[in-house]
Amino acid sequence: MDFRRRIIIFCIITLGVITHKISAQQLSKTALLKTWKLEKYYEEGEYYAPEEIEKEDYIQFNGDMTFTTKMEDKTYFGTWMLNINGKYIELKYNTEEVDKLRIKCLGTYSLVAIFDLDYYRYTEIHYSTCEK
Amino acid sequence: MKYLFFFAVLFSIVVSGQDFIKLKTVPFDSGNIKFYIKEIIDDRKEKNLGIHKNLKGETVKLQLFPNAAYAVKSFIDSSLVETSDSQKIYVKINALSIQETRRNTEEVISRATVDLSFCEMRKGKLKELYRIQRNEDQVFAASVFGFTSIIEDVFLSHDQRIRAALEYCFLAFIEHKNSSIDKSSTHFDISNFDENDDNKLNNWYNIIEYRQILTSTYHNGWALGYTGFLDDNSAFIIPYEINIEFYDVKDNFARREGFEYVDATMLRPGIFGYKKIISGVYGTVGVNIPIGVEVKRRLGNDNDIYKFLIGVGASQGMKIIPWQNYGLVLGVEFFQQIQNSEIYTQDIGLEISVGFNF
Repeated sequence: MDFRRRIIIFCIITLGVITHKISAQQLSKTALLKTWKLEKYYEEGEYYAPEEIEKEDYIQFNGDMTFTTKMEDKTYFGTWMLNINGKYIELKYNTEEVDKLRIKCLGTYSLVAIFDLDYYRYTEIHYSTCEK
Repeated sequence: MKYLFFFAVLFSIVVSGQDFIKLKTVPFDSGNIKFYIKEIIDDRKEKNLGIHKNLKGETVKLQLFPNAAYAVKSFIDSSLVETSDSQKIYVKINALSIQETRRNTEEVISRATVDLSFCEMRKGKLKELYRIQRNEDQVFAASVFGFTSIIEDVFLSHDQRIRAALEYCFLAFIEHKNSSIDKSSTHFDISNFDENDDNKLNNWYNIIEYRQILTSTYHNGWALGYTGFLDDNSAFIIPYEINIEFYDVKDNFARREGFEYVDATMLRPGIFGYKKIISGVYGTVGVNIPIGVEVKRRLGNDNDIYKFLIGVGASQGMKIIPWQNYGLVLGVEFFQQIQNSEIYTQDIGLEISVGFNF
């Protein structure tokens, strides 16, 4: 292998590592403080578009540890916490009901999560945001 | 396989009869706090995580490495930094354990349980300031006979569920301390333990049974069946049942009706219900739709006659399961059924069963 080819391979690997670091963020409260819009679902190897009634769905995490979420035209409020070791967000609604949102992947503009609930546990929810 | 070996070496050190789980020290965001953990006191009667199967399939006593107090202190020290003016907090471990069981025919559940008391030292005695009990549950997809395929996933993630439960407890205490100062709203619950006394996950039973008709108006025969159910002390239990039955009509009755023989092979989908009477003893009821094929031959004729059978059945009985994990299962059941056979349309009888649970 000549020297020039070695340099090219080294550059590709370095670029790959840097790109990975940029796209996969460290799990932190500040990285979540955005409004995440529902983009699509993923289940059993296929992506699905949200239903018509879910097109405006979103979840917004605020710095005072409150959240607002719109699901199927209904808006819910509550408090949230991030468990870094468990890799999940706990949502506690004003009704005292609790949901666990397991984080599969967090990027600057994307959040992939799963509601840890019977019948929803095997469906990835893909959220996206324009906020940096 | 090489990854499995790597993780096994990394996270567990196998000792004869016991296995250790090493807690990773992943720091969490503790915010602005004015205390540090002076000491962790393991106040459990049994200072282990429970008896479990390890990655080699051996039944062992699981423990945190090198012991629970040291492991929890190391984990927490990575997030809470000691300063000279901060308050000394002592933490008592009241419970720290892991469990796993099947929860239905498709899923296994694993649980880490943590019960902590946060204390301060007053006049040489520990005074409890706050107590929190936390279960961290995680569900894994695994069919009834597929538990071995996910045993590595369950075993290697015990560490993460314990860390998640500990993080929750410490964040809850931080919130408790802060809310007493700024009266802010609270998120954390002081307990998500199950309402039953021991906070134990209910046991899943897999039962294979041989059933024999003891007495019946028209039938002789036997059946093989699988039953799977999640135990429950108070609620009505709906088991998963499938039986295949090999029944025939009693010879003297068949001949009286002009047949050389009458056989029937049937499936019996239905709804069954168990109610726990005392530990290991269950009352059973069921309604079912027997579906199958009747094969009969008239006397003096060489041709078999086939008939599609369908009917409605009901049963009431009792099941005895003396040993929870493995062992003998005994049962007795009264049954009644009506069906579209040309020879007999109704039947009642008594059936006994013997099987094993695993």
